[in-house]
Amino acid sequence: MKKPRCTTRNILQESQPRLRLLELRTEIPPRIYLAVGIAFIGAFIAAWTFLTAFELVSPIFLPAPTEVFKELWRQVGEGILWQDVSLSVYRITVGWLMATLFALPIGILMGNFRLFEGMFEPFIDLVRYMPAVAFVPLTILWAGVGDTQKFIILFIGTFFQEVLMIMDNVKTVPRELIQVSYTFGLNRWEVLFHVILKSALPGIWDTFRITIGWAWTYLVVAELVAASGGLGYRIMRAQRFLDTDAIILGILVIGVLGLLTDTLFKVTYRRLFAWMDNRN
Amino acid sequence: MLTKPIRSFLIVLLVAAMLAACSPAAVPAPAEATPEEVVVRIGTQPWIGYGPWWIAQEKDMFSKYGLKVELIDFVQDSDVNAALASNQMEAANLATHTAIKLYSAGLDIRIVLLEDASYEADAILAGADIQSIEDLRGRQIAFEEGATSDLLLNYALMQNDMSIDDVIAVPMPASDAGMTLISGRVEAAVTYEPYITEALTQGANLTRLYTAAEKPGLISDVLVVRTSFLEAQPKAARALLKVWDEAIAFYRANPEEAKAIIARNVGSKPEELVTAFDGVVFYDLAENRQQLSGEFLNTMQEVARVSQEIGLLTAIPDLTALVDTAYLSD
Repeated sequence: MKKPRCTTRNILQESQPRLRLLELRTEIPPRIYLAVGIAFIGAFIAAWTFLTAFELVSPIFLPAPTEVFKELWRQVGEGILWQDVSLSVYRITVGWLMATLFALPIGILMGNFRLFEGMFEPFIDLVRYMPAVAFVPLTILWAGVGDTQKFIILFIGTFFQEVLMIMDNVKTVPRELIQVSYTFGLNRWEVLFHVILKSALPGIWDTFRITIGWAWTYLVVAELVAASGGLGYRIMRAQRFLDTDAIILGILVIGVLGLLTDTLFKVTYRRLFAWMDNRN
Repeated sequence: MLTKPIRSFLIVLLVAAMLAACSPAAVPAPAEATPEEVVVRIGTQPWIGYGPWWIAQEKDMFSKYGLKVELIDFVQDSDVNAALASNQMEAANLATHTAIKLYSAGLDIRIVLLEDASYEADAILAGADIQSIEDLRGRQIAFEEGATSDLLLNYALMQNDMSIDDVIAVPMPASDAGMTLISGRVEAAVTYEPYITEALTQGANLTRLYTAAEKPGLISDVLVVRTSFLEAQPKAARALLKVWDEAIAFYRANPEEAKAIIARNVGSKPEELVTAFDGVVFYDLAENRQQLSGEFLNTMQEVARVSQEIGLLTAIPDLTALVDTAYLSD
């Protein structure tokens, strides 16, 4: 009984292409997808303007968007913003690359060889719950007050999670795929490099995207000590001086930069793994 | 299609949920108090100068006045400020310059009590090769921006015709500054007790280069209370200050026990704080009646001037309006 009904429905749908926005897991036109996203941000800013324009909240808690914009203008004019952004982007990039440089090979080893999984996982599970902020005084003793100390904090914040995620990415490669490859006469190393890694790479790329996002969230912790520039430092200083407009500006700038890095990884993902779409 | 009873049930549920969401968020404390009790939430930080409040709490000095006092612990200035500004507390122990800053930012608060002044308990520490403030020129100095350390450093530099641009600022929390100096990562540090004692015992060659005693009151603490609370509960405010007086009396009569209580609440051992206590001067009510409307007002002016210098204040507010001495006596 079920089959004919389904078919009728499909036919109906195709014959009258009415816009169905709330169909489960169905693609909607890209225009609408983009428009609702922009509309929501617009509504958010409108609500913010409304709250501050009628002074429903005190300016100490929430400055008006215009105040934040003025602060942006001032920081751009004095060159502070550019300085902060380049410093922070530099710290994030180096810190995250350091973490990734180690996480990638170790994660791949752990995902493929039980020997390495058994060797590293207990230790990593132990360390990854340690709060990065508690390491701040120690990192000063180890590395001083320069940029190395910031890299170490970012490393601690991202490496241990990243390793485990890469291990999981590798493990999701279907066993059948590996067995078929053996059947075709590939040897162990060929299977590892041509089958497992290639198949796991899209997942790993996604892990990169997520972990660099974490690096951004650790920025304030990294710039807690002995930084005299950077977005995290600027937020912290603004907190001490109770400059709410500068705090909000800093948060927004970090948000925008985070969004940009995210987009960068998504775009490269589509470029690098175009074959994924063909396969499905 | 839902049957009618189920539908009406769902509607009731929905309305109930909406009502629950609309009712004011559960704010703890005030509602729990019995009618005759007045709840006072005081924001505090682990600083010796706020010690008398812990003595009062452990010796149960509040209840006979019908006060239910909660001491809410913070470790950062910025968090105390936020909690006070958002009306989560009636009062707070603040450094004088922070009180002035909050007042000029538009917070409706009054200084009702001068609690303590730091003498040797705030200091610039340096190694043996630095003998004077002049020697700091071009050196790396660790200190907390916007805090008492910032004030002391800038004051010291100003007294020697220098400015912050003559040194290399290495901003960090005061709790890390001493340790960073010991590890030799910076050449000087500004911090306060108990970190000074910690640094001096571990770093063999370190000395106090400059202390807050050079300008008594520059580094001092006050009790601020929200104006709305003062207007609604003037009696409770008076009682609160009486408790402070009693706690100071206890401190002076039983220094050993009092110091042990304070040390425990600051999170240190009493023996580690011996010199720290020597560096702090407390003010009881009689001393407040002399200071708060007299000499201290001039000191506040100086504090405001240095605060403006470091960019904490854009303009100096009317300080006489900020101080209210009405609660010092009956």
